[in-house]
Amino acid sequence: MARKSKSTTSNTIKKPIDLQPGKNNKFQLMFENHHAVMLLIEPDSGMIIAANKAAENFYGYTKSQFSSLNIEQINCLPSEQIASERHLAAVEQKNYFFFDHRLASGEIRSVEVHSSPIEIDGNFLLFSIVHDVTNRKQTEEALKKIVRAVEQTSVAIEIFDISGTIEYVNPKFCETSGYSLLEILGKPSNIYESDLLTEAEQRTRIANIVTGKEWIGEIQNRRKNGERYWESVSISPIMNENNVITHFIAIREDITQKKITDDTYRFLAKRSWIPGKVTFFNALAVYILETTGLSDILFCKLNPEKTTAQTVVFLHNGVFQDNTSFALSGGPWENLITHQNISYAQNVQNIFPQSALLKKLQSESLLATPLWGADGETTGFIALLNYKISKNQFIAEEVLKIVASRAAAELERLDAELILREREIRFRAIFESSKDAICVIQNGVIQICNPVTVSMFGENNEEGLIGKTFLDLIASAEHHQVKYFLDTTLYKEDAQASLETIGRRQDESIFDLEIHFSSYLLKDGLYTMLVMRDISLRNKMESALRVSEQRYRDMVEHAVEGIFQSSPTGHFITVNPAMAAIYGYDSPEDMLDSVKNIKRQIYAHSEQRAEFMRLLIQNKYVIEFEAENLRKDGSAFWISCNARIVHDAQGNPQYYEGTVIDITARKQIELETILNQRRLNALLEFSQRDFASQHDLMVFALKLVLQLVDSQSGFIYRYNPSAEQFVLRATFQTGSDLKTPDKTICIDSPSLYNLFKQNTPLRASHFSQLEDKDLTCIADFLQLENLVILPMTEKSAPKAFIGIVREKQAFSEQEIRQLSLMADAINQIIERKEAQEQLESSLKEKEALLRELYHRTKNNMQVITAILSMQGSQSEYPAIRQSFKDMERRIHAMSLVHQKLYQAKNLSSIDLDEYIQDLTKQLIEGYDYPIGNIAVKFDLEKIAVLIDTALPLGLVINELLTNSLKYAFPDGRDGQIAIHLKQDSTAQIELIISDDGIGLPENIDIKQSARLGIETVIAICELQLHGSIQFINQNGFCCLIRFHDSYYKERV
Amino acid sequence: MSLKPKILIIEDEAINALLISNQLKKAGYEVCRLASTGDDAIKIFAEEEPDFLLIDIGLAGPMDGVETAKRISEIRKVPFAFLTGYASDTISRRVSSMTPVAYLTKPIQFGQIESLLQSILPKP
Repeated sequence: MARKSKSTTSNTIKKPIDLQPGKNNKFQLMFENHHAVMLLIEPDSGMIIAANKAAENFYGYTKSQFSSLNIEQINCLPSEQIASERHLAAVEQKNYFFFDHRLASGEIRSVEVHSSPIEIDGNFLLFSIVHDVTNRKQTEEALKKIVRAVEQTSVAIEIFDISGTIEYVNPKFCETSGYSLLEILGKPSNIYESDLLTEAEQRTRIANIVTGKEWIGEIQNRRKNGERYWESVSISPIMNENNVITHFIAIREDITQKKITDDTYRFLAKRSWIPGKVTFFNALAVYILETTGLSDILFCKLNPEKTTAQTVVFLHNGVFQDNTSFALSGGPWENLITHQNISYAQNVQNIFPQSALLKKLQSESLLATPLWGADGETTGFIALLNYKISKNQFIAEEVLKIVASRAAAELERLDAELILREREIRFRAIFESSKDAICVIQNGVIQICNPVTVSMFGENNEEGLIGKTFLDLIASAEHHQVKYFLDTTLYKEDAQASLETIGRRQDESIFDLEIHFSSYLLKDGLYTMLVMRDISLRNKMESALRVSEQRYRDMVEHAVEGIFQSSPTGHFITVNPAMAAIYGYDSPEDMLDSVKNIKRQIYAHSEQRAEFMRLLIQNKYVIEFEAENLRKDGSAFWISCNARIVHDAQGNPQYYEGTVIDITARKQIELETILNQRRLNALLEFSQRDFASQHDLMVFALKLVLQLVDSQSGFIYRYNPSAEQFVLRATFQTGSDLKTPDKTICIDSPSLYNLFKQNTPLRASHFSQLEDKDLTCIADFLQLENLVILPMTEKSAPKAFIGIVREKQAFSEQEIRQLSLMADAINQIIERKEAQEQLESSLKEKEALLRELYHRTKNNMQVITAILSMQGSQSEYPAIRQSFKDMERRIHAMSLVHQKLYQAKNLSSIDLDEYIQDLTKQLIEGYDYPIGNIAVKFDLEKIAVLIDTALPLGLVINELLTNSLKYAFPDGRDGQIAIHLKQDSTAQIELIISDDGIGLPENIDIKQSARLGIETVIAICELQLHGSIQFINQNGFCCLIRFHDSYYKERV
Repeated sequence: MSLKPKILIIEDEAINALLISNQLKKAGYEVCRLASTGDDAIKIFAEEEPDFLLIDIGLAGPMDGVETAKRISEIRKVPFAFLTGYASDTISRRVSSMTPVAYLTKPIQFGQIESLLQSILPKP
């Protein structure tokens, strides 16, 4: 120990202190012999003035040594400390200090120094009593250490007396329990009242404690703030020296963290989750709930952009909710995932009012930890929420810390699992729903196969195939080949190949099979995957296609239509045999070689080709185009063509192709039909028309003939047999000038005559057979281009002929035939017309004659009447005169009929009503005797009767009327005669002539009357008219006659 | 025989028939009902059995006088005379097969009929 030297400017003692026994004897004796170490010290310098024996013993210095010692040499403390000690003593009003003093041996001893100032002989000295407190200090120190230990230990210590009242608790206890010392002291130890122990445990504890044994247990406790925690408690009794328990000491260790940690690790290790049923996260959530009591737990996964979170587990109020996803923005989430570790927030709803989730969960506090992936990126987080501020935050924190990395790993695994499962599902789907058969073999044995494989090989289910040797599915004929193939090609890693072979079904039926192989080396060996397809259908289709192709080729070769392909440059690319034949070539090759220019060699008319090309280019195809084409020999014929343009990929015309059929026959028929139709129409018109004159008729006939064949000009000659020459009747011409032939042609030669008396059309060729001299009269004709002469004859004698010419185009055989038919028909029509004319004229003649006849008859009768009249008037006798007058009247009645006939249009009948009226009038007017006023009432229907009826009927009417006039109205009385004439529906005519005169005497039988008149009337009515007659003698005289007029046939 | 010979007149012109009938009756002959058609004639011929026929050739209707004569002669042969309006009928082929007693042209002179009858039929 270094001594601190001190420069002293000490106050030296004025006088040495005499400490001999004498004056102060008692005090000296006391001083000297006291057991306690005593020193007298000069306060300022610190020099030790006196030391007692005890001091000598203690320090090991002699008195004389003391006298030269300074207290500072003994006192180990540095002077500042000494000073402060002193000061401290003064402040605390204590008069003792603690110092370390050095003994002479160098040993340091702790001392307690009581110092008090004392005045001795006017000197102020310091009287110090030094107690060696080293041991005590040591003990004290030891004790202090113990106390410090107790005070500072990390375990909570509680000491309570046997009544359970707490006497002491250490700070840790306060800290752990949350209670302050004052709150605890004097309170009963809650150990006995712990409600977290079972009763049994409690009893054991008490029992142990009471019997002096130590009790150790783990209990869960509650802090003042309600927070729970775990502590390991050991309670031991404290006995006094008599082994009587006076106190108990309970040592409590807060094992919460450890427990949580242990439990959590145990939890992690225990693997209480069942894959597929209880996930890791589910189990973890339940664990957290049980451990912390927090009921709102979210495990979330982040999306790659870290903008949204998807819950993996969502616990709310202890109930698993459906997983949901939410945006990170607007909530505490963004922050928490950027933190490195656990974050904690309170009042989260107020801080993050936009977070709907927080609102929904009514969260107040949030405790969360981000989860890190292997690459250090945040992949998710765990968030624990509570509706009120968390009490068990730190437990939760501990748990989170521990599970965080595992949770992160699980999260990754979850992802991976999900992906894997997805892939598996997808693969399964593909596998199951593939339209191809897929199966996997190992060592030639089928391991798995999909439904199509099952059906392809005619099995009912997979079991029939799994385990089967693959070669069983191959037809035996192919086994050798397939086996060789498998062995050499397939049983190598990464091999891939295809094979067409024959498959065999369960029912032994076989089919064409296409197999694609690929092999993979997996950890448990080489697998080969087979994708198989039933290609029977495809093979069938292929061969069908080949067949149909062949058929098509055959069809083209053997087609009846010509099939061609031609180039835009005007030559043929391909032609089928029919095409060559149609055009008169020996073979397709011949046609291809010969035809170099389609336009020139095929088309008869260039304008037809131009039209064809126009249509083809405009519409891209042409249908049923009719044109006149040329054969190899140059002859023309009609074709119908369908064609189209074939374009190349760029849309440029590449070539034309189409079909051709020979429609010559059809065309001919068409032409024939048209000509026929035209001819018939023309003839119909001709026959129905009336012509004013022969000339008009001829001209019209000529026009029709010309129109039939589109001819421009012609002429028609009529034969005059008496002059033996043909006379021109009409010409007609359009277009260019036609040299007008002579008006008459004399046919001199018999051979020419012979030609004209037949009905055959004549052409130049016919005339060429004759000698020139015979042809002189028709020489002009023969110069006419394309002349055709159509003779018309009557009874093998010439009657007329028509000549027609046509420019450019000669008449075809068809046309000439048609012309011939037409000429014949015209001939007949003319004949008929002439006959009709004759008939009409003769009819007219006849009519005229008849009229004349009737006229003459009437006249003759009138002459007779006149003769009678003359003769009668000569007689003197009235009776004779009356007789003659009667005769006159009778004849007059007959004459009137003839007059009516002569006047009538119809020369065979007269209108009876008119006749009756006229006769009546004439009778009354001509009546020779004076009579009164006789009125006549007519009720007459217009009825026509034949002359054979009219004449006798006239006589009857005359007779009846005359009788009435003679006898019905004597003495000049007035009267009325009524005449009624009607014809009923049976054509029966009813004639009633009646008067209102005096009638006949009652008993007279009229029919027996000798009067000639009535006899005649009855005879005529019954015999001649074949009718009936009745006389009614009432209210005058009435005669009713009924008869039919159908008996007589018209004679004229 | 005290019976008067009966004459059947077959004539479609009533007045002519009447005239001849009256004349015959006046001359003492019996006259059947008048017949104006062939059918009537055949009927009356069967009913009244005349001894002589006077037949108008130009009868109207489907049966003319010639036909009527033929049909009646098939029933019973009775002498008859044709009455004709046309002179040319006498040479007609149709009548050549018949054998009438006489051809009388109209207008009939009664004296002709009378002398004819007297020669053919006995008169009472």
